[in-house]
Amino acid sequence: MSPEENNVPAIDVDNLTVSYGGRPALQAASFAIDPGLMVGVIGPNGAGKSTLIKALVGFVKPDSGDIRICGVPAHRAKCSVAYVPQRGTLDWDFPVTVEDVVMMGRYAKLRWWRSPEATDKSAVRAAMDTLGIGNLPDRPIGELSGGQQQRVFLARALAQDAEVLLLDEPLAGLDAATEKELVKVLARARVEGRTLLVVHHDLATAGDYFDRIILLNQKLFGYGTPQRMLQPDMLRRVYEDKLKPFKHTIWEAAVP
Amino acid sequence: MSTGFIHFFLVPLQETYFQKALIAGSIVAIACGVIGCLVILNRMAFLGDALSHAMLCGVAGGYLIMKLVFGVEAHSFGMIIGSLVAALLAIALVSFVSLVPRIKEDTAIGIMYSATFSLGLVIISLFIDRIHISISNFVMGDILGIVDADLWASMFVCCLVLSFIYVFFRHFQIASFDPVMAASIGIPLVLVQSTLTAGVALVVVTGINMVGVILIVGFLITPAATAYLICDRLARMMILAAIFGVVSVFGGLYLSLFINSASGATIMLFAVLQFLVVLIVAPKYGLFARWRHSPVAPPRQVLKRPVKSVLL
Repeated sequence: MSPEENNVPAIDVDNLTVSYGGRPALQAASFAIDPGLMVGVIGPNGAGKSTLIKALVGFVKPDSGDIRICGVPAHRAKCSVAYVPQRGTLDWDFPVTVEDVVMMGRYAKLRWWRSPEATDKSAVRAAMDTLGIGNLPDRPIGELSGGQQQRVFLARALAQDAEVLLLDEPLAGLDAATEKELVKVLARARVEGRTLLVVHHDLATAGDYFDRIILLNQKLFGYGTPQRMLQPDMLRRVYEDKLKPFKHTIWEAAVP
Repeated sequence: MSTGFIHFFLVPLQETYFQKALIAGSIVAIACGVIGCLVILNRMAFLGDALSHAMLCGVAGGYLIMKLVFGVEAHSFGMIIGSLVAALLAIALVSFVSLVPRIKEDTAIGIMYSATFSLGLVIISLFIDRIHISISNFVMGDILGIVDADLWASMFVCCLVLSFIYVFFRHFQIASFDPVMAASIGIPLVLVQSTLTAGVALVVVTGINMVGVILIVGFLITPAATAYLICDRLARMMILAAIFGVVSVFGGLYLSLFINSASGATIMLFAVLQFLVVLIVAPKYGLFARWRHSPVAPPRQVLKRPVKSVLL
């Protein structure tokens, strides 16, 4: 699906409210992301960034509000949605190998009575090669380094060949070289016309990586270009002055 | 010497009760081992406890209804249906109590499994002239007293559960490993979870005949945990867990014959011994492997936690 052939937003969130046991995590968030954009989600810890992604994939049920992916309600979405989990939320002792995990990307389109076919296997191979883990197919995921683990889940998202990619902190805790490489992979996915929503923690790089920025702290504080969003007064409101100690270093780096 | 040895293994095999014990025990061991892998990976062991204790209530209820309504004594399928109803009831009670955020799930399970077990005991004691259930068999199991109906019931349940896991293997795998991704590709998580719970309940019902309420949870998770120490892929872990389970049944039954001990408990002890041996010698995740790979002089900070640093 190329961005030109339909004007429907890839991700359309209207008045989304989510709470856990009475505690609000997201309040009345609304935004619409056009296809083919790479969008960064920025906000302090506990701002509801992961909750937003979980609501988008239908894992948590919103209290109210409307979510449309490629124009249809999320649970009936015709285009597929790939998800890259935050590294800390997974059980790394789970008995799966690298190849098993990447193959999970193919499950989305595989009918339940079918076994993976040659096309699935070649897609898995290609995705692993793209991310430089082609030599590790039989390695249990628990034995990988942090960077390799992140590559595996990115490979899974690529193998899924999805129109929309939702990534929860894919760049956290990586060395500079790996981060650069993975950002390149993400940028290539965008060039192919895919839409990416990336939870990101580093204000200093956000301006370089993303086309648009979502500022989130339970409420939506803004959605727009990095030039408009990464302004000191905007950031101060989102982070509720928690950035004060780092004022000079971070803000100067962040403001393009 | 060698004829005596063969004699020891062959003579019991001529007894029908021993054949039935081996066959029924193996069937349940296979089902327990396979579904047990999903139980430990989903951290449901405590739920297995709750289910098994609710069974007494269900068995008694099923027995009573079959007897009062149809006049049939100790009807196997009646008791299995009763147990399933009780299992569902137990789960409903647990989720009902967990509605209050302050009562966590394990607390709710702790309360409800004693509640349902007590209810079962009360029912049996109220209708003591109508219900002939041996509490000690229920608690300890009676693998040497398997009747044909139990054998068929466990065969049916085992095939049902195994074919479900075979057909929906990918669903179970991904829902256990990465539930958010599972939701994102449209896997109905609630349905998968309920199917798994129902499967556990079925296996527990049939297993109680063999090893009893107290031991069934061990039967469910010990072979699976043993396999977990060796395997890096879920499918292999399931196959190996089934094998470990069957080996425990054979080993335990022969051992119980040899030393003249309670069969169900001996089977469980055999399974635990097997686990401990694997725990020590497992090539990658065993204790030997850890000792071998740990640095000669552990960093000072580790030494501040004495017990753990001595062992690991």
